[in-house]
Amino acid sequence: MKKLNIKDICIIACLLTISIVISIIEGILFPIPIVGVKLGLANIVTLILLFKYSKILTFTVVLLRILIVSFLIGTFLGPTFYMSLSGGLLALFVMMIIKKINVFSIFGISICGAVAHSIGQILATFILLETFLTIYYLPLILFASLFSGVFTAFVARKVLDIM
Amino acid sequence: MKKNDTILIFVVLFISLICFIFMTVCTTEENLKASVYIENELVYEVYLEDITETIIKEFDCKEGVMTIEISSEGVVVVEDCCTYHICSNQGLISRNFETIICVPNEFYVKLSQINSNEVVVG
Repeated sequence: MKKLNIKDICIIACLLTISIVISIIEGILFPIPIVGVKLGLANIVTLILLFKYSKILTFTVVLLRILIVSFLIGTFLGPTFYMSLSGGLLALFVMMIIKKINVFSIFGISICGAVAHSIGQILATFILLETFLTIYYLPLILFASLFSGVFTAFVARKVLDIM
Repeated sequence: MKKNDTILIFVVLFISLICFIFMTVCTTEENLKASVYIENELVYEVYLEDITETIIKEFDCKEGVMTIEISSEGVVVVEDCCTYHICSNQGLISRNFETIICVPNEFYVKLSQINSNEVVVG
């Protein structure tokens, strides 16, 4: 991993802060009929980090974001924390793999990440509630993921262009 | 955007459309029972067609009290105790497989079709 300079550290700190704010407000602005399931707009920051910095650093920022958000809204080690963790990490791993195989552009990577984010959260509800009933909302979640994926990629592309 | 991205978008759209059609065709508003689960345990069950007057039930959950309204039309959460109040904003559920899920409270209400030989105890 290349050594980070002060500018990089400041940018990463800003990106972490932005991702925390996005994580908190997206649950209020874009509710999905399952509490805890989010669109994953914080993936904007994950995408930027994945394209600009290393995988380890991206993983660290995603993990920090999930931990800090759970501390701030008081859900640490609660069911919604595990949902965020499974969604966030699955999205990250899927995006890493898709980026590595180099089949899609940032838009394809982002859509796969958004879908993985939702599937990760559905899997978490399956484990927590021992019910696969959340699958009923899969069409809605997939459809919403498509838009959030395209939007996320669009914003990340614009930010990467000016960075 | 690459050609592969466009294909991916259509694949996701197609899958969500197929799932939506499947869910619409396979669900019904008749012969339903509402089941309430807290922490994976069935705590209340009622046959919707037996209801003549609206039933209001309160359930003690992890983060407070969840109040639901059950009528022959379906189930709605009238008061919840979670951060974003998504359960109460979700509105009425009236088809089988539809659910109201509150993950922080490990609370969910599901509608399912009743078998002809099944007896429901409220």
